[in-house]
Amino acid sequence: MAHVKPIKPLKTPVSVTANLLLKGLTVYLAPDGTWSANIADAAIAEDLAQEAVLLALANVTVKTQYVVGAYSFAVELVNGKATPIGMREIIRAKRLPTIVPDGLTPKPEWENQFTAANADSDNSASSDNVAKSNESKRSENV
Amino acid sequence: MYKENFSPLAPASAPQDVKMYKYDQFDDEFITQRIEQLRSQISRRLAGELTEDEFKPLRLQNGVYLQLHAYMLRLAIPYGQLNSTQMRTLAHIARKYDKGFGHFTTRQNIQYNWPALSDIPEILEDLQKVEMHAIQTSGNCIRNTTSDPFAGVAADELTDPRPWCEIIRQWSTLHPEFAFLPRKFKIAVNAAEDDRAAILYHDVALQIVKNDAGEIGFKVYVGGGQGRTPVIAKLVREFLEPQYLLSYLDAILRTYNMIGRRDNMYKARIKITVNETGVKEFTRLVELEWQRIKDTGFNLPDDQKQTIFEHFILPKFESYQYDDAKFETNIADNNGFDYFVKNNTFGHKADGYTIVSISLKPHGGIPGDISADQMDLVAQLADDYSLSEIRATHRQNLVLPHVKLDDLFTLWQKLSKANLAAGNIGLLTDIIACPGLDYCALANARSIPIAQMIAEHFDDLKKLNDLGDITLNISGCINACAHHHVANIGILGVDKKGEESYQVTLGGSSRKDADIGNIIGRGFSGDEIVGAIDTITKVYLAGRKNQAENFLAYYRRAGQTPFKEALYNVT
Ligand code: HEM
Ligand code: SF4
Repeated sequence: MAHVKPIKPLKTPVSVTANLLLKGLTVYLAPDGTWSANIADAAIAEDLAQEAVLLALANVTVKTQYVVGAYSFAVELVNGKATPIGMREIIRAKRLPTIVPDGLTPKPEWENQFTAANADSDNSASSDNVAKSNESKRSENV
Repeated sequence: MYKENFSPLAPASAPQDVKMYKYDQFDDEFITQRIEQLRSQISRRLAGELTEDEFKPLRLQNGVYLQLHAYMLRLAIPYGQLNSTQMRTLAHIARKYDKGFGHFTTRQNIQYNWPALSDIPEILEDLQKVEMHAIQTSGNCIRNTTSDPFAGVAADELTDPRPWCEIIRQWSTLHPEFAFLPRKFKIAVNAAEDDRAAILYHDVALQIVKNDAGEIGFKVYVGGGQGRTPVIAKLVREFLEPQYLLSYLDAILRTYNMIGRRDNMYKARIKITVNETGVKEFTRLVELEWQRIKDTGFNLPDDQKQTIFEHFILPKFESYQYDDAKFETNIADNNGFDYFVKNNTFGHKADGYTIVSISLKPHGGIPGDISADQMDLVAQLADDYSLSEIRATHRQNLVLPHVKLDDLFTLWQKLSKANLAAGNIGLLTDIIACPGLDYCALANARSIPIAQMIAEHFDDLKKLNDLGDITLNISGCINACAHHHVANIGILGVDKKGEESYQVTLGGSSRKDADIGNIIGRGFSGDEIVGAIDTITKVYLAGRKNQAENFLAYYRRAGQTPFKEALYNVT
């Protein structure tokens, strides 16, 4: 009989985030596979299998050059919505530094929420190309 | 980049007698090609012809990083020297492509925190018009050569180091042999009595000295650096005749390229190579290679050297009788001007002139950040009062290098209106802070809010002046971009089980008396850190012999004990 690995539960629920390839801005994967600037729209995975599904879904748009560097990160649920736990993801979710410079002149596309229409995705993520799970940091150690 | 000839023109915007290095047709064509290459690489990335793994090294070659919120673009300001037209372009870029501000770094560079990838070729085209670019601002190559921000005019310097920086810049730009070194490589040059460029923390430090015969040459140090392993550069040559500068640098880099480690990026910097090889053996290898190439290898021909030096001939300074009495009255009558004069000015070579530092650490501000409007104002003030010249400093401030003493008060008034007149240069609130967790993908903790809280706490200029000469630097991780190891008071952000925590080091120095700070004890939380810094300053104030004994001198005399006792109640 084949040995079936038990599915390990996650320590905390997770959501999936990435940056838009063109603009670099932070986005969150929604349950329908689109990306949103608002973390409240983020899909939530409660176990490893669900996390793998979300990462595979994210990878569809990694492959269509819509987003870059998708990874999952720890969240807690507040009123059923994903809320980041660590300071790094709290800051990313704000999409701004915690101290905003005086001369900052916001442009609408930076601050506004938007839901991105996914570019020509075919919804069939191949498992060999799945975004790395729980990549705690995307580091450009250069 | 190095080539046969270049044109000896001065930039159009600057007065006739101010000379700076000028691009020639070769440079211009090269930059055009380079931008086109990047544009095509971006298109290929967007079309899916390049994966991110393939694209990343290409964008990094052009100074484009991906950070927490967005892309970041780092531009080189060679040896920190800018003219007003360049500054206006930096303002234009901040306004048009970014969020209206930029960040000056400890490497005399500027970073933009929010450009879109698709805008970057256009940004680089705008920069090209003012002879700037982002080449070699990232990657394992020779980075921007840095120097004394007062270079050329400092009263305490032996000679102008800028022509040598420019020679190194041209030699190192696109040098084919040194494009893929084991790790990044930073060179700094100083010719002053004081060290305002932290040269001993560079891969190569060149101190310009005079020998017994009165000839100018270089004292050469190798293997300094910060990051996770801070090291003070070691002396490899007491005196290098200037005509051999490039062949000697070739020999150092070639030796490093040959024996530097490539198996582990944390052991790849030349500081580790020198350490593992031993400075004696490393020097022997360099000298061996140098003897081989010294006369047959590349050394800058005299006529080319001459042409470069001509770009740095100082303007003719006006000879005038300045109004001493009025100056004294202005000091007496204007709160804040006194401290500005005391802390933000430095002796100029020419009579009646002074070097003015513009602090980018206004009360409650973000160290090194400057808005587009402020950049435009600085450009205008440079035109009006400093022969159109500006410098960026490694302490994340700006400098107007040629200000007439008679203009100083008006300049101060104009700076005041734009929140640029903080008279705190060299004081505790002249904090160096890296972007930290507010922007940086490598960070463990935030730096900016800590800098701000400390600045708020120590906002009384009188008390700050009483504290005197003191440096406080904050890095958001061990990479030490903000030089925390070499500050009198260093703060390092660490991640302690998911919480931001701050480790304090004392006793570092980035000047002639270079030293690496020592960790004082357990770290402090974000809520505790200001209190800890307050305690440290109180220990110093209570223990110093007199005001002439500055913080570092006191620390060196008293050691860690009084600080430990006060911070941790240990006896
Ligand atoms: C936000 C993007 C940045 C990244 C990804 C980054 C990355 C790094 C890394 C990995 C190191 C360590 C290098 C080593 O030890 O080999 C380093 C060192 C350094 N960085 Fe940054 N840095 C960034 C921003 C800055 C900024 C904003 C400054 C100036 C405020 C700066 C100036 C420096 C300096 C002076 C060093 C230490 C000198 C040395 O040993 O090379 N960097 N940086
Ligand atoms: S010290 Fe660390 S946190 Fe600060 S800019 Fe450098 S890499 Fe980022």
